[in-house]
Formats: sequence, C-alpha cells, structure tokens
Amino acid sequence: MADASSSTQELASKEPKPPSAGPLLEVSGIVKSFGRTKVIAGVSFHVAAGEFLTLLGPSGCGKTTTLRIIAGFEQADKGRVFLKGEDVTTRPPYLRDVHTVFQHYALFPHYNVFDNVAFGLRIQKLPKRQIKTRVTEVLDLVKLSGYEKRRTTEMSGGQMQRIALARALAGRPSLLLLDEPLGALDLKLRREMQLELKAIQRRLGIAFIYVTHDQDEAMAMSDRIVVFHHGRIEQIGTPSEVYRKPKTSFVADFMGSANILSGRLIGFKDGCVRIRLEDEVEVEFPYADPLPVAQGQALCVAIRPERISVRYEGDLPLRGSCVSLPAILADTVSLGDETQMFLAFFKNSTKTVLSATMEARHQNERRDGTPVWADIRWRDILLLEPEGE
Amino acid sequence: MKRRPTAPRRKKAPQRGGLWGATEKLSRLRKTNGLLAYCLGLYGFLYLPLAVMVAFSFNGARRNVVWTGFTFKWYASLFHNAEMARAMATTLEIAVAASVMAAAMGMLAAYAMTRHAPFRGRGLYAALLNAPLMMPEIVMGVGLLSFFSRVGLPLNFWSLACAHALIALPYTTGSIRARLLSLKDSNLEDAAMDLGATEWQAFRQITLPLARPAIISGALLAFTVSFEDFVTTFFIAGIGIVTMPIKVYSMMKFGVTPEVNALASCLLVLTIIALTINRTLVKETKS
Repeated sequence: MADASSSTQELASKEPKPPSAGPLLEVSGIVKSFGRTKVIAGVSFHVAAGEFLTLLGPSGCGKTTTLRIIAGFEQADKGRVFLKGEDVTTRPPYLRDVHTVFQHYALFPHYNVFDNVAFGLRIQKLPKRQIKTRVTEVLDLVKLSGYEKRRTTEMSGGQMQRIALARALAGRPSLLLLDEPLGALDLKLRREMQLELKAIQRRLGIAFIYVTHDQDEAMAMSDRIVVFHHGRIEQIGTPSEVYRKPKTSFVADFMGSANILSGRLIGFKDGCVRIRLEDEVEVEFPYADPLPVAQGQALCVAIRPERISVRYEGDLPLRGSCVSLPAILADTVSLGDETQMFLAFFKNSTKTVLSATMEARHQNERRDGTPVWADIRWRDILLLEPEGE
Repeated sequence: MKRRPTAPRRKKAPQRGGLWGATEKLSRLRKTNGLLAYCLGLYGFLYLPLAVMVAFSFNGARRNVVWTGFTFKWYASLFHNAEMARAMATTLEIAVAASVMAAAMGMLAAYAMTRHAPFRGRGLYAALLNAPLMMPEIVMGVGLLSFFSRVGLPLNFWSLACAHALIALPYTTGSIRARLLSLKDSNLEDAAMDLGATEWQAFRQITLPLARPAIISGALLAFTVSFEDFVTTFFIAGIGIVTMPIKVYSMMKFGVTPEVNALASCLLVLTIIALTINRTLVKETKS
C-alpha cells in the first residue's frame, strides 16, 4: 500500500469501516422461484470485507439470480440478506451500498464515457469539482484516461468493460458485484483482464462477488469459491480446498476433470479402507480423512486423470504409498504435449478410466490392448458422497 | 502457361445455345417480362392516380380532361380561401392535440406492459388496447357518438381530439413498447438504480431519453392517423368543426375541381414528410 499512487490510496481510504465483528454481507436461506421453476433452493454464505468471493457453476445453476437478489433487482421468496449487519432484504437497489458490473456492460448509450462514470456521483449530488477528480481517478485506475469525451458506442468490448468497472467503482461501494464481466471477451483479453481485476481488487480492498462459469477463472482470482449446482451450494472453500478436497462428485468433476467411479465401502480397519469399485475390483489403502458414508454403503470415488500414472510391463513401480491396478490400454489420444490414455479396469463394465500425462515416453503409441499397470497415490483417491437423485 | 488458350473458349461455351438455349432464354424472358408487367400494373394502379392528381393540380383548365398549360393559380386560390385555411388549422390543431395525448397515454401503457410485475390479465389488457386497430371505424364512430350524446358531453374540438387520440393509441403504444422491451433487455435501468437512481430518476434520465425516438415516431403516426381520419370525424364532429378530409369530401360534391387536386397534393406531401421522419427515427432507434 505504501508505494501505491495517491489516487488509489484516496480511493482505498473510504470512510473508516466500523469495527464490526460480523461479515460484510450475509446471505441466509435464500429461496427463489420463477413461476414453477425453483431457481435457488436454500442458499447461505457470507462475504468478509475485502474478500474476493466467486460464485461458480454451470449456466442455469442460480448464481446470477443470487447476485441479482444481493443487488436488489430481484426479491427472494424466502431468506434474508444482511449488509454490514443491517437487514436489506426488501430494500430497493438504490439504497444498497453495492454496485454491479453487468455482463453486457449496460453502459448508457446516450452519454459519453465521462457522463457514464459520473452518473452515480451526480445522483448523489456531489460537488462538480469532486465529481471530476473522482472520475479522473477511476478512469486512470482502469487505464482509460483521455477517453472522457468518447462515445461509449464506438469503443471495443474490453474498453466498455473497463468503463463499466470504472462506473461501478466511482461510487466507492464496499461490495462490488460482477456478473460474468469477462464473458464476452476473447480468451487472451480475458486472461489480461483477470489479472488486472484481481490487482484492482487488492489495491482498493473492496470485496468482490464474482459470478462465472469458468473454473479456471475462479481458481485464478478467488479467495474463496462457492460452487453452485441446481440452485444449491455444493461446496464453499479456497480454490485449493475445492480442487484437492472436493466434497461431491459434481465439484470434483467441475473443478478440473475427474474420473467418477461408483464404489462401496466394504471395510474399515486400523485407518485402512477397503473399497469395491464398480462392483468388481477391490482396493485397500490408508485413508486419514473422515469417511463420507458408513460401512457397507455406496459412495463415489473420484480420481483426477493427471494423478494416474501408467507404467508398462517391466517398468519400475511408483515407490510406496500407492495402489497399483492392472488394466488394459483401451485407447491413446495425443493432444500435442498431453497424452490421454483410456484404461479398462473392469471386465463386467465398459467403463474406462482416463489418465492424462505430459510424459514424453507415452507419446510413442502402444498398441491398444497392451496390458499396463496404473499407479495411484493413496491421497489422490477421493472418497465422496454418492450422487443424489 | 500452356493452359491459357483454353480459357477463352470455356468462357464462350455457355453463350452458344442452339435450340435448347433459345427456348430456355425465351421462357426466362417470358418469366421476367411477366413479372415486370405485373409489377408495372400494380404500381401503376397504386401511383398513377396520384401522379395524375398532382399533375392536374397544375393544369390551367377548370375541367380535368385536357391539359391547357402549367399554373399555380389553384394553389393560390386554395391558400386565399379562408374556409380552407380554417379547416387546415382545425385539422392541424386536432392532430397535434390527439398525437400528444396518444403519445403520453401510449408511454404509460407501454411502461405498464413492459415494466410492471406480471399481473393477472396482462395479455387481455394489451389485446384490448390494440383492439381499435382491428375494429371497423364505423363501429367506433357510432359507439363514440352515442356515448357522447348519452353522457351529455358536447361534441366539440376536445371530444374530437380525444376520439382521435383513442384511434391513434395502438400506434403510439406499439412503437414505444417495442423500444422499452429492447431497453429492458440491456439492463440500463437496473444499472441506473444500482448506481443510486430512484425508479423515477432512472425513468427521467435513462428510459425517457432513450425512448424518445420511438415516442416521436409513434406520435407522428398518431398525427397522420388523426390528420386523415374521415369516418369517426364524420360521425362525431360537432357543428362548425370542419377538418380537412370533411372539407375535401364536401368540395367533391361539386365534382373534382383543380382545387381539390391541389389540396390533396398538399396533404400527400405532408404525409410523405411525416412518414420520412418516422422512418429515420425508427432506423435511429435500431442502430
């Protein structure tokens, strides 16, 4: 903060935050239906001051509606929203200290860049001079100084996104909502903007709630991720928690990819679990974490493709702390640097397991049907609750 | 390089037709000629009478049969005719009053249809608002006349203006509604309220300015509807209120004089101007 420019320091030193113990925003038990479709079925989470929280999920999972309820554009059927400890559930959007960056920018086409950014400040009736300095500051922050007089309709997508961001930041909200703000940009620009957004968020210390369906984006930017699925929260955690310790098979598969196998917990003794995979193959390995189900019950087993290492007859096995399973090589696909191998473990099922590797030696293709060994470290076998419905 | 000589021959080939090519050409020619003749006939039927009318408004002779020379005298006598001037003024005043009313009510109706939370019977509400478009004007005329006389409202300038506004309402509502729908999709009002604007401020500063082209174009349509309305006006215009179409009708009782031609030509020009403005506004909204 010491070397930050004066303008950002000014922006960051918003009104002194009251030393409230509670979270900045709390959403509790939100339910929302449109007609007969239930879009959100009981969602609760909180956001701390200065936190970057991502709502992640496939399209139609309720994340955007949740955002619109926080902003005040929609009213929840059930549940409450607290902002700085105050109940704002029924408050209209203009009485909430929250600003939104919309997916399609929603810039006012009849205003130029300056007037767009100044809109909220003029509504607040700030003195003219103050409006001018604030607009200059935020335009500087998003690297668009000198564009004040331009019409927004003649700017590129990336520039419009920056103006939308500047407009939302100009009012110095304590919480910024971003609804897939980079969705309309091409990949390269998106990566650039991700870094920039994250940097701006850190510098200003404003809490962000960021909605996206792109798990890479979520991993790259967030302090914590809320994974949505069918209007419910599947898991809340830091990016590495969500990636390494997914709670459900949906999370395991959505965050990166995973082989999801059905299994049954048939034994647990001395910290060692015994699992029957796909009703056929039995494996036994030590497992330290709490078990998701009781003995004898069905569960899901998730293994990430990049965590399965394949060796051929005669190769040295992976040293210790892993299970080794015999398999048949079903297919090999080369994706440039990465090689994907499909392994058949089971006789009764046609289900194959994917292994992905960057190792060059797998690139000289073996014939399909070659017997191989698959080595999987104990800690890479994730035991999850069985899939609902 | 060696292939070059073959190129021109290939080009020529399709032109040598023989018998087959000739019949094909003929049938194609017949097809296009038939289409051309149909179009000429249709457009001639549409626009030739207008052209003749405009032409004869400049004709020196009193009768509409022979061309005796170019003159502006019918226009001059038209503009010096006090009765005519009064009819023109009345028509314009009524059209302005009616289009302003129709635009204001259309804005409210369109806002309700697009912004109000869904309510029971919203479809019926919209359909009933559009009904005057489909309803025979005679029905409107008779209905309004009996309504006005039952309730005891005087048949004067304002009752006529209100009736015209009613007929024109579907046009303004439709035009504004389309614009408000597209504005809604772009989340602009949400954005304004998100930045602290109340619903009214968002309406004044965002919705209204952006809907303005649609409001004006709707009002222009309403203006032409009122301006040229004959049937309803004929039924409910009180004594002493003579609009242009009524005046033309009464003049026609004595045959189609060059003054009528001149007058109709003036109305034609006015209509074209109004429609052109309307078109440009619609284009502007779309961009």
